[in-house]
Amino acid sequence: MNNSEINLKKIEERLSELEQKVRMQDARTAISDLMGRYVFYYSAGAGERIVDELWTKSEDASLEYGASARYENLWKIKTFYFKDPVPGKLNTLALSSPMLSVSDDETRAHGLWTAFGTETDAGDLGGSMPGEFDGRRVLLSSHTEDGRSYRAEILLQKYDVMFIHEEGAWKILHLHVGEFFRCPYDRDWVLYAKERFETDGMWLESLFEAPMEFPPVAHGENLPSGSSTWHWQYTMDAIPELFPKLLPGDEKKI
Amino acid sequence: MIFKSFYQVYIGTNSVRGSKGIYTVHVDADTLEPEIVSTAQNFNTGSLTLSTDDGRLYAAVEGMTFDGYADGGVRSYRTHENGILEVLNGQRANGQRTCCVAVDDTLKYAYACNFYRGSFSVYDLEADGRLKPARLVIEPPADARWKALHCIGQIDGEYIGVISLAECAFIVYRADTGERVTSYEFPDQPFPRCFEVSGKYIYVMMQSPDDIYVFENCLRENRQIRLVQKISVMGEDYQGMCATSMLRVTDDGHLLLAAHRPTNSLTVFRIGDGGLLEQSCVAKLPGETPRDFNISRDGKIMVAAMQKSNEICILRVDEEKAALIGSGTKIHIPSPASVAISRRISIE
Repeated sequence: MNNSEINLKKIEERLSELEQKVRMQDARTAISDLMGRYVFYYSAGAGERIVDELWTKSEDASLEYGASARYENLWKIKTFYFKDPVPGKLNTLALSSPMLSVSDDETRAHGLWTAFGTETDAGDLGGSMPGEFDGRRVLLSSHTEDGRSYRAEILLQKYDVMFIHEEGAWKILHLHVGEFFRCPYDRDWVLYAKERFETDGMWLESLFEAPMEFPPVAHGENLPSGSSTWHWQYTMDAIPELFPKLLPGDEKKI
Repeated sequence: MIFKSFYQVYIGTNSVRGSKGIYTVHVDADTLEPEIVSTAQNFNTGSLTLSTDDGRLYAAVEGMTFDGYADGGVRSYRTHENGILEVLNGQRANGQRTCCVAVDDTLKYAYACNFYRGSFSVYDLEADGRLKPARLVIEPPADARWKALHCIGQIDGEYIGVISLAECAFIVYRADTGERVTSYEFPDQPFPRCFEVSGKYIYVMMQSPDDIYVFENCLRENRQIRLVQKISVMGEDYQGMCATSMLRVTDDGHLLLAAHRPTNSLTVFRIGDGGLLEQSCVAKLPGETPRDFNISRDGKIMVAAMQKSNEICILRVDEEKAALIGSGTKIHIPSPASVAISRRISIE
């Protein structure tokens, strides 16, 4: 091999490296764009578009929210997103810059975001007052002086997301929403840490209630597919821990 | 002079349809008229059990979260004759959806098992009935395809029985060490549901098909249980869907009652020599979906949690005829799921 051939080979290798870097950067941009759309749709109550446009079509999909445990299969994931609009209800979400890694074969990616969210239900103050036995009522954690109830909660969370490259585009394969805390806007998360235990279970179950028919295999129930994989929320005895244990990029070290 | 005579009934509920947790109901011993006298907040009370002195109530928290952890749990309460439940404390169950809780006759130990993860926990009890953190946590086999347990209870004070969905088996452990003593694997992969112990016999019921397996307890003799009978709840001629929920034995060991949800019925069995069951009748219940029921300690009344029709129904038990009698009484309670009944209380 003469000098020209050696130089050409070096240039080709360098070009290949740069092309891979560009593809990785494209992947990061595409995934950031995907999560940007996620936030936009989520905050607009457009859950069906999240499932249709942003989630995989694979039945390997899974979603875990706080201590809800893992909901597997697409029909269970739809129950999280498919909701009838209720006047005065609004959930919003804002994401930080991600910790993000793309697999060497560019078929998988793993991202971790810190998220700030709000959950709102005007309750007794709104156009769709819940009845005495409506499940919404127990989640109304703020109260006016004259005894009317509503929900205006803030949440600090983390979004741990696995992506799959499917039919030329990145899609969500697994989503695990972890928690730091939630509390009513007019209270703080230390004072509310214990009080929320009373409604945590009802809150988690309400997240997976949906106005849709379940498949026969469900026998009328929408139960998690197994135990929680990890969960940490602020309590007055809790010590912060590294969750999730596997950070983006750690997969390459295993 | 007796002013009032009643049974204090505790009803655990699923946390839906406006439920307020655990309801205390006074049932008039003469008229069977029920009255809700108190409620205590608790999430998804899938199982309730009273201590033998009626002074403490233990409730399984059948949820995915307990005190901020991804866990189920158990709560202990001090009971009062006015119906008020005073919370003593709660402990994690080391597995989610804690579906069954039991307490031993000596009031020294409590047990809880978990539908998810298939684990169970053994708790030592303080003198006042508080639960200490779990002393023993038993996990299912690592290679089990479906890790789930459904029912737990004490046997003879020294042993713990569990219904394992993971192994489709009834398994016996030592209560002090957690050592696995013996097991019975049910043939043809039925869905095992629950069991009761009465004297020397253990009655294990399948949810589907609706069979009851009767075992003789030979644990002290040779660490074994011996199958002596298998009998259908609805009878061999029944062709419909099977989904039993609970079986109970009267304290004197004369009758066994078994609930069947699709037909809203209770089958009454006489318990004969050798613990063998003989079907007496199938009694229709006024309501839909008996999720649980219990019998008063004197064997006089039966209270059923009719989950779908959001009510409890109360009927008299006629031990001589081995039947439920009368049309009974009812009261509305949202999604009732578990029942415990005190002794008859008389106020003079």
